[in-house]
This record gives sequence, structure tokens and C-alpha cells, in this order.
Amino acid sequence: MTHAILSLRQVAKSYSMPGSSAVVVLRRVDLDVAAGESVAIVGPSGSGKTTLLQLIGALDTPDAGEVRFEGVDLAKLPESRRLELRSRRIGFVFQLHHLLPQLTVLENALVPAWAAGDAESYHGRALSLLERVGLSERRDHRPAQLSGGERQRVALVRALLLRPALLLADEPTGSLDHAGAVALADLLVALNRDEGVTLVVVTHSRELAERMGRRMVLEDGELRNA
Amino acid sequence: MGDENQGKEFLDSVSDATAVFRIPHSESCILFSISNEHMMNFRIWITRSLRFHRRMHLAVAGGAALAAAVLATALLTGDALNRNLRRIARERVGWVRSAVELRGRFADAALADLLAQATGGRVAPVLRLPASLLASDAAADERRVDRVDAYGVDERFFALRSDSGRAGPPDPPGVAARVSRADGGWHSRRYSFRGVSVGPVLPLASEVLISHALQDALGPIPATTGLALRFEQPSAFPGEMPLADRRSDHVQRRSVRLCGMLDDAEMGRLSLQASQIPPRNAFVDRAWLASEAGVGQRINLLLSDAPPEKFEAALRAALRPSDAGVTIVAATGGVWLVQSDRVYLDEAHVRALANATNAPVLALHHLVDAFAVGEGATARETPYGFVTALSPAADARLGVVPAGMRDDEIVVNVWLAEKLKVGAGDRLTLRWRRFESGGRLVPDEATFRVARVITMAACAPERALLPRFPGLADVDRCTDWDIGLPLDAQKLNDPDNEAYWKAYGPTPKAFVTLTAGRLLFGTHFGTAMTARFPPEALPATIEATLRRAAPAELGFAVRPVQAEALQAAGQAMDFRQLFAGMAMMLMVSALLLTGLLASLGVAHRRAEVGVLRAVGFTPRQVAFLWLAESLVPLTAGVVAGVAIGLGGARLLIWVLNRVWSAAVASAQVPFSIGLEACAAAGALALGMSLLAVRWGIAQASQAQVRELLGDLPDEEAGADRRWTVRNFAIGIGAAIGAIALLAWGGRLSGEAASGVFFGAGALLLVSLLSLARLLAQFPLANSQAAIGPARAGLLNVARHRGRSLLVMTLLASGSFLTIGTLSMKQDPAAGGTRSWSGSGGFEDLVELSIPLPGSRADEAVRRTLEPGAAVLAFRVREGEEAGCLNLNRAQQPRLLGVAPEAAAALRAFERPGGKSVWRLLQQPMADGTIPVLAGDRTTVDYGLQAKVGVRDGSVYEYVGEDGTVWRLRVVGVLPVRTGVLQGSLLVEEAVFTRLFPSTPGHGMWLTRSRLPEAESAARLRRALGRNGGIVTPTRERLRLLGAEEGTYLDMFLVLGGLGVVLGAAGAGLVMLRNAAARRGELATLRVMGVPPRRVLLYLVAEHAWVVLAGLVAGVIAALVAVQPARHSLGGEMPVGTMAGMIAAMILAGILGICAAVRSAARVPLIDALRGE
Repeated sequence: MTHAILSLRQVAKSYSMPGSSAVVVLRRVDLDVAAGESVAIVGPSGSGKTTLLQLIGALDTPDAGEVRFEGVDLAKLPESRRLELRSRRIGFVFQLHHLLPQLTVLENALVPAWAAGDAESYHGRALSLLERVGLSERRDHRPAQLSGGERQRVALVRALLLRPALLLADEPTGSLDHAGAVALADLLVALNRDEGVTLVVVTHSRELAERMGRRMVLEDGELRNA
Repeated sequence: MGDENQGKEFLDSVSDATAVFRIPHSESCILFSISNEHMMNFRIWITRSLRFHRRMHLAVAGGAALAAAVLATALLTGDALNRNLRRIARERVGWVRSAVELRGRFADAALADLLAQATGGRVAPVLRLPASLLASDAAADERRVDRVDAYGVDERFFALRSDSGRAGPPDPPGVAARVSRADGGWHSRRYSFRGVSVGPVLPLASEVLISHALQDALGPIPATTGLALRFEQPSAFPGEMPLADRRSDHVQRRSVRLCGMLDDAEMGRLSLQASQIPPRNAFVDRAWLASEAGVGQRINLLLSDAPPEKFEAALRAALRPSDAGVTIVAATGGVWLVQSDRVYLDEAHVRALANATNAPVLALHHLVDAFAVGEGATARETPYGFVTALSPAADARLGVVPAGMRDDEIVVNVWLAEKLKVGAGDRLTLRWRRFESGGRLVPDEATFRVARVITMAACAPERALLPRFPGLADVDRCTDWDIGLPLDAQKLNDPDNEAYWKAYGPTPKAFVTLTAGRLLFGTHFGTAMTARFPPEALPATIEATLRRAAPAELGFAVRPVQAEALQAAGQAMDFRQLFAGMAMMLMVSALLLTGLLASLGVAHRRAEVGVLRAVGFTPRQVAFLWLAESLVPLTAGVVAGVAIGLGGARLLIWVLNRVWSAAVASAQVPFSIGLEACAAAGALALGMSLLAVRWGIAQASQAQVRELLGDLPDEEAGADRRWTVRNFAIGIGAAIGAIALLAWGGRLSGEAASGVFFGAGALLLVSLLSLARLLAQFPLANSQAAIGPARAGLLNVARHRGRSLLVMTLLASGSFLTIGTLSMKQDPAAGGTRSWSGSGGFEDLVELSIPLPGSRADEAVRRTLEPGAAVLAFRVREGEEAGCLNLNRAQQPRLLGVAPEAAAALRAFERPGGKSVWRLLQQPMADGTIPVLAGDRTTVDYGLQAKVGVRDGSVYEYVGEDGTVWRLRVVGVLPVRTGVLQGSLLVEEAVFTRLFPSTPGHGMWLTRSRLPEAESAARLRRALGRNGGIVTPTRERLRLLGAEEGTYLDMFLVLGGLGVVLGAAGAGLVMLRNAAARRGELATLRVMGVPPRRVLLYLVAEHAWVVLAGLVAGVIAALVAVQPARHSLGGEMPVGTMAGMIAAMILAGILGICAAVRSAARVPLIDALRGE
């Protein structure tokens, strides 16, 4: 295995709700992901897949254990550094596309570059990526004018715009029909291959999981090989 | 991406920043370099978001517009009122900078010319007399307007109306007075003075020019109406002075012809008192008025546009003794006699003469009741005769009291010596009435040893050296004497005395030293009547000696009237602040609504926030983006709000001029656009709206990205322990704070009491709303409880605690203000004639427009009412009203002189068993100040904003008639909030007469009679009608005084009602948002067969909790916070009205929800399910 870009050691996470006892979501999670690798995480609903992805994506911090990305313990980073990581090094694709409804396809794709204060530099890449996902003709359309699959592809372009080292996808095909799901899976695999981006996908879809280089199962708060 | 690339085919990106496009239907390609306008940037975000979320922005803009409109209305209205006060101040004094107001004395009109020459300015001599104007039509009864100031003016007066006599702009057209009526139409007549058009019209003899206020009071004046002016015929003699004539008529009535109305801007509003109430002025020809009033060419008012310092210097140089009524005449034997046309010499002149190198002999004369010798059977007595007191002199030409004569010795003439059979060394008793301050005559006597007896020839010169007593001049018989002392008719018929009068007239019968005379006969009117200089003295030297007296000491005090007017207007109630304060609650409600709308907007767009946060925007950047986006609609809303505010201010001013006129003390306010107020309102509203929006988005921008992007509805999580403790601490702390504030401030009054009410109310609201918020989390905790409408409602509150709390706050503020205001409303006349009520225990307030000298008015009042009627008399020194009827800050409040013993005996303004406040008027003051009482609490709290206390009470300076500056300290206040004596300061009568000896007797009375109220009032009106007697039932006066407060309370009621409406709107909006968020849930219920009506009712029931909780919190807070104020107000709370108001507020809240429910119900079922 090449050098691990992502490494989780004994990660635990629980949530407490007022008036009820704490719910343990993750008990002891260990995971190493090499640069350029594609990993699928599967598991039953409520098993903590999304929580795990949020910990990896520096959207949350573990109660115990450590999540290291490119050798850095994310929990020890200040929020500003975590923000910068999210902005530059980690891309997200959600089950719901979460496109900004008032912006066009191209503008949606460029939002991360705008956040980084460098939208001008990434304009060509945005067009290139849209061409790559087959949406260059629809660059001036609004999300409401796209199908579910198209929206998800725009979300994928948005996630990849700044050339992140790691792409996290949370049920990316969850809201798509079969054909759309297959097309998106093809795209993810191709992008993983062509862009060299490391891919961690949380999914219920066996088809999508099987397209990934490695499959893991999250059950009872622990992660194991499928 | 720009439109120019629409339809072009993307080929490749040369770099991240450059792309190649193919132009359709051609082989050409273009290299497209990216520029800013094609980029995703700030501008695109703003424009796209504004367009896409336009409805949401429109709602936020509406909230901002409302806040701006409320603020702009308040500031513009306040600004217009403030400007109006300054305008009135300018109008009422015109270009008059300096004025000399003579009280009880007159000066030669020629003095004006001398002063004009010396100052280089314009000086107008004016004769001002109190008057009534009467209008009689053939068909109707005579109408009478009292409290009229009749000004005798000439062309010099009109020259002061503007700066046109100088280098100012010419008179604008159309300001000329409209002149009636001889030919049935109006025409104008302008007047020139020194070649300059100086006035619109000049009344000729028997013509009158009236002010608008007088015309308004008079009503329509058809051509057939006959007008008459009734005015005081003044006397140089103070009306109460001993030896003043009492029988002559002091009121004159003359027919006049109306020649026009004088516009306010043309000096029609002339008044030296700071008040916004337009005076009832009648302008007549000065020479005519002076002649009819019998004062020759004399005047009692000088007006000038010269600066006060310059005017005072000129006055000092120009004022001659004769201007003060003092003349130097050659008397018998060549003796120079200095005498005053006011009988008594001014003390300033007496001091100047006493300090002269060759001091003159000073003389004081008095009519004694009897000369007596012996006791018992040997007693002999002769009635009435003059006694002259003289400073002892070696020069026999100057008087018969020799140098070295003792103060217990007396010189008698031979007639008296023979009559009483006394000689040198015998004892002679004088009996007389001692004149005490307050006008009381106290019988007194003193015994002297006869030093010597002089012949009638020796005392003959003394007759010539007596001053001229009007009531004794040209009188043939003793029984015709008309003097200021009650005389015994039987004694007047004494034949010997009659013979003496016929032979020797008023020749004094006895002589004492000046020291003894002052001790016996001295009064507050003066201590000497004449001064005698030897024949060899030079009149010029005597005049030079007299001119050492300062003008102010002789009653010629220069008032800087323009500066006073501007100061009074400047220190007046700041309406801008007042209205802004009143509108604050509504504005805060509008801002809360704006924040709520922004918060709902953010809730709707929380996924957008999540995406932005997820791709690298910091919470601060997200907030900035939202604020920048909101800035456009907020600015538009604020601009629209200010425009609406202009209309609102116009409307409010219209209402203030017509419906709520009591709030501005009947001042007619013109509308004007204040750009500064507009800018201030706009800037403030924009700033506050931005803060409200920032508050609205704060929660979302700080939330975790995973929460924002989650698929759960935007509900608040359950509270943790720390939150609960903090909320509990806030609630308890606020409650303790409120109780402490109420306990501490319970006895405060005025603005401080208002502060306590609002402060304690706000703390109670915080406490109650914190409690409500705490309670709201229990349904979440108790998941086992059964679901019903009640629990569902609480669950709904718990889901969106912030939102619910905001709506509750809106409703609570509105209901707090409404109920608080209602509970403070009271009728100030409700206390009737209870002595501790505002009436002081009296039924009528009687005032005179034209004074009646001496005790004649008292006698008339007492004679009119039945014996035993309660009458409390006051001396009046006109000044500024320091109560709610005057918007200006009174500089010299009206001063009332009252006998404390009489007031205490009548238990006026006293509670049974309570301490008498009147004794404070006789409180010895260590620092030499004079103790005064304020007319009521309102006078102290609002009119004067004065401190009360024997040691630290506020001090007001009054210049007495002798130029002495007296310092009056407010040591107490009549213990009523609104009383009939509001606006005045009360001083002990004895002190009053020392300060203002010329005041002609009592001018005001409070009366209570056993007669039916209408009858006693009618009798008094009839009895005092000739002197413009005004009889006002105390009930009416109190209602007039209470009208202002009542009007402001009405305004607060309206504002509170609007606050409730805003709260109801907020509740409706929250309901709409919740329904939108849960429309899938609701649609599912409908799919499951629950009738739509029941689903909607369920929604209403859920949200009704918020409405109820908010309203109840406001009502409880109001009822508790108002308790201290209620304690001081007394009376009953209007429970029925309050219950009705609470029901109306609940209805408004429920209606707000129902309207939202109806709107939510319009979403089609299928669409709702698809949305889910």
C-alpha cells in the first residue's frame, strides 16, 4: 500500500440528546486510505456512515481517537485550518445535491473557487469539468431546470473544482434512478482514475460499492472489510 | 457567464482561466479569456439572490420600511413641533431684543426717542393695559372676550415687526393685514415711517386691530357688530396704598371700530411671556388709549431692537427722575420739594438722597384715626388728622421737627393742643391702623410726649409740602374723603374737625421724627414721600443725586426678551425626543419583525448556508454575504419607509392639530419637511435593520454544517443543562431586579416614575419570557406524555423556541403598553371637591382680566357668595405657565401670593390628618432665599423640572419692583399630581407684597359655596363681569389640565395596539413558515383521512399558545409595574375596559394565525406531497 492520505485510529463518537441517554454511533473505527484509492463504506441505516464521513471531512470532531488527513490530526487543527482544508483539499458530494438555486450551473460549480477568492483562475477548469460530465451546454441553466442526475453531476464538478486530494461522497446515487446511478458511478470511477483524487464513498448501493477499489462495512460502530 | 457565450460550444480549457469556444455554424473558434464580469463573484451573488429570493427580501424590506416609517414619522413630527416652537418664539417678539416692562408706573413716551437716539436702534413706546373686548349684535347678547391685552402703539411699534427697516428684504406681498369693514370689504393700508414701508396698517383713534387669536375667540364679526374695548384706567398709586382713592372708577369702556387683523408674523402675536398659546391682542392708537385711560403721554412698555446691554446703558444715561414720576418743584419759602406722582418715593431714590452730601429732610405722612389724651373720665379725643414724620433738621425752613428731637416726642399744632388741652410735656396718644403686608389693617396706638406746640402759621408751610392725595384733593367736606382706609362716618361728621378741614385742609396736626414715623406708618410701598432741600440747593444737583439710582431699582429693568424667548423655546420639551421615545416600542417591534423575517428567510435557505460553509466560507463571511444581500432591500425599504414617514408625519400633525391638540397644548403646527430628520430616521432605521438582520442570521451562520445540510427540519435542539441554568438565572435575576426597582422607585414621580414603570416592566417581561422559554422545553423532555392540542402547542413552541420567543416578545410589548396605559388613565376631576384632590376642596376658580384695586374685589367675591363660603384669595404676578399647558420651559413662572394661615384654615389641598404643606411657606431659610411651593407635582416634574427641598430645592430669581433680585427656593409642592394651581409658584402673601407692592390687591380666588354650583358661578360672573371676571369650575380646569396627559396616554394606547397587531402579524408569519416546513406532514394527515378543517384547527391550537403566552406575559408585567404609579394616582382601575382590551388583543392574535392558516390551506395536496 502506498502512503496513507487518510488514517483513522480508534475513532469514537456518540451523541447525547436532552432527556435521553447518549447514543454511541462509532466505537472504534480504524481506517487507512492510500492516495488515489477509492473506498466504499456500506452499512445499514443508522450505522454511523454519515457521521464517519463528517469526521473525515473535518465537519465534526471525534470524541476519542484521531482522524489524520495528509498526516495532520484534524481535531488538533483550529477551525480556520479545518475550513481551509475543506475548501482546498477535500471535496464533498451529498445525497441531496444542495445546489444554490439562484445560481446557474457554471456559477454553482465556481462557488468553491469564489470562496477561495480565486474564481477567475478556475473558470476554464469549471467549463472543462462540466464538459467532462456532459453539462457544458447547460452551463447557464438553473438547478431547477436540471434533472436529479444532472444536479448531482454539477455537485460533483463543484466538489472537484479545486482539485481536492480527497473526495467524500455521501450516498451520491441515493436520489437517482438506476441509469443515473450507473452514469454517476462511471463518472466517479473515471474521475478517480483520471484526476487522481482519493475517493471515499458512503453508499447503500451495492453496484456503486463494487465499482470502488475497496469496500468496508460499518456495523455496531466498527469498520471492517467487506 | 456572460450572455455573449450563450450557445457557443465549449471545446477545451487552455488553462484553468482560459477556455476555447466554437462559434456555432462556423469553423471559427475563439479563445475566451475570463474577466470579472463573467465570473462568479459578489455582484452576481447579490443580483441572483435578490432576484431569486425577491419575495423574502420584499418581506424584510417591508419590516425595515415599517421601522423607518415609524421613526421618520416620530422624528419629522417632533422636528416640526420643535421648529414651530422656535417660530412662535420669533413671531411673538419679532425683532424686539430688549424690553422694559413697567409695573404700576408710567414713563414719558418721549423717553423712547432719547433711547432710539442713544442706541441707534428702533424704540417703540407702548401703553399696555389689561382689557376685555365686547361685541354686541342687535339680535344677540353681548359677547365678551376676557384676558385681552390692549396695546396702545404707534408707527414705531410696527417698525419692529421685521428687519425691513434695516437692510432686510422688502415685505413679502400678501402679508398686509386685511382691513375691514367700513365699505363691507377688505382692503389694506400700509404705513411708511422715515420713508420705509414699516407696517401694514396703523389704527387711528377709536380703531382696533386684533390678533388672530382674539378674532378666533370673538367669533364671526358681521358688519353690524358693535365693538367696545373695556380696559383698566390705571393709576400711579398702587391700589392698596393707604391714602389712595378707592371710589373712582378704574374701568373704562370705549366703542371701537375694527380696522383689521394683524397677522402673527406682523407682531400680532406679541407677547413677552414664553407660551405657544397665541395671545388675544388688541392694537389701538397709543395717543388715543393714553388719553382715554387718563395717563397723558405716558407709557408702560418700551420695546427695542437694540441689544440689551446697549439699551441698558442708554437707559442709564437717558433716564431722568421725571421718567420715574419724580419731580423737583419749588415750594413755599423757596424750599425744593422732591415728590413722586406715586406718592411714595422709590427706595432707590431715598437711598440716593440719604447718601447725598447735603442730605435733605425726608417726610412721611399718615392719616391717623384719633389723637387722644388722658384716660377714663378725663379722656379727650379728636378724630382724623394728618401726622407728618420728618427727619429732624436744624434748618427750620425744612420742617418743624427740630434737630435733637427724640423719637418718643411729638410736635402738635395749636389747634390740636387747644382741642385736647395739652401742652409741652403732656402725653398724647395716636391711634391709627397699621398697614401690614398682605393688605390687612391692624389697629395700633402709640403715646408720645409733647415736645412743643407750634402756631398754625408755623405749620402752614407743611400744608404746601404735602404730596397730592387724589382722594383728598379738591374735597370740601370730610365726609367726601376717598382714601384707602375705611373711615367711621360718625367721626367724619365731627364739627370741629370739619371746621379744621375747611380752614386748614390737610395741614398736619402733629409731627414726629422720621424714625418714629417709619416705625408707625411705614409700609412696603415706601419709607418717605417727599424730600425737602433748602432754597439755596441747585435743582441740577438734586437731579444728579436722584440719577444715581439705577434704572432697574426704579422698575426700569431691561429684559433681554429675544434671548429669553429663544432660551424658553430651546429648553422646551424636546418633541423629537418625546415622539422618538414614544415610537421606540413600535420601532423595536418592527425591527424584531424584520429580524424574524430575516431569520425565517435564513431558515428557508439554511442549506445554502450549509453549502457555502462546506465549500470554505467562514461564518463571518456568510453573515457578510447575507448582510450585503440584505442591504439592497433594506435600503429600498428604508427609503420607502422614510417616504411613508413623511406622509405619516403629515397625518399625525393633522391629527395633533385637530384631534389630539391637547398633546401640543393647542399649538397649531404647520407641516414642514425636515431633511435632517429624514436623514437621521433613514440612517438609524437602516443601521437598526441591518442589526436585526444580522441577529436573524446569526444562529444559522454559526450552526454546524452537518446540521445545515441535514434533512431534518430547522428545529432547535433540546437545551442543555448550562442553557437551562443560564435561562433560569436570567429569569430570576430579572424578577429580582424588577422588584427592587419597584421598591426603590415607588415614591418617584414624573419622568423618573415613567422610567421605573418601563424599566420594571421590561425586567418583568424578560423574567416572564425566560420562564416561558424554560417551560417550553418540558414537552421535549417528557416524551411519554400523551399528545393533544395543548401538548402539541407546547411542542411547537419548543421546536422553535427562538422564533416563538420573538413573537411572544412582540405581543408582550404591545399588551404591556396597552394595559399599562389603560391602567394609568384617570379623570383628574374624579376627586370632586375633596380637599386632597386636584381641586383643593374648591368648586370654582375666579380670575380677573382687569384688576380691581385694594380689597374691592375680595369684598365683591365674598358679598356674592353666601356668608361662610370658603374663599382663598391669591395675589397674582403674571408670569409664564409652568405646567402642561405651556410647551416652553417657563423662565419666570407665574407667582401667586397666598396667606398660609387662610389656606391651612380651609385645609386646602390637605388630607384629613395629614401634615399641612402651607407651613413651609413660613419656613425660615438659612441662606436668605424665600420659600415657595409649586402648584402641583406636574409643575415640578414637567413644567419646571425642578428639585424640591428646603435645602436643595431649585431656585428661581425674580426682580422685585425696587430692582432687588429675590431668590425663591422651591421647598415643597401641593400634594396633588394635577391641581388647579398647576403652572404657578406660591409664596407667602406678606413676602409677595414686599416684592411687588404695586400689585393691585387679589386677582384670583378659589371658592366653595353652599349655593348650587351653577348659581354661584353665575353670580360671580355677574358681580365681576365689569372687570372681566372669569369663573372656571375647578372640574373643568382639571379636565383641561388632564387632557394633555390623557391624549398622550391615548397615543400610547394606539401604539400599544399597533404593537399587538405587529405581534399578531409575526405570529401569522411564524405560523406560515412552520406550516410550509411541515406541509408534507400536514398533507400526510390529510391523506390519512383527517378532515382538512381539523388539521387547520390543530395548527391554530398549536400556535395559539404563543399568542396567549405573549399577551399574558405583557398583561402581568404591566399590572405589576404600574402599581407604584397607581398608588400615587389613586382611584379605580378601568377593569371592564381592560378586560375588553385583553379580549381584543387575543382576538387580534388568533386572527393573525387564522389568516396564515387560510393561506397555508391553499397549497394543493398533491403539491404538498410532492414537496415532501
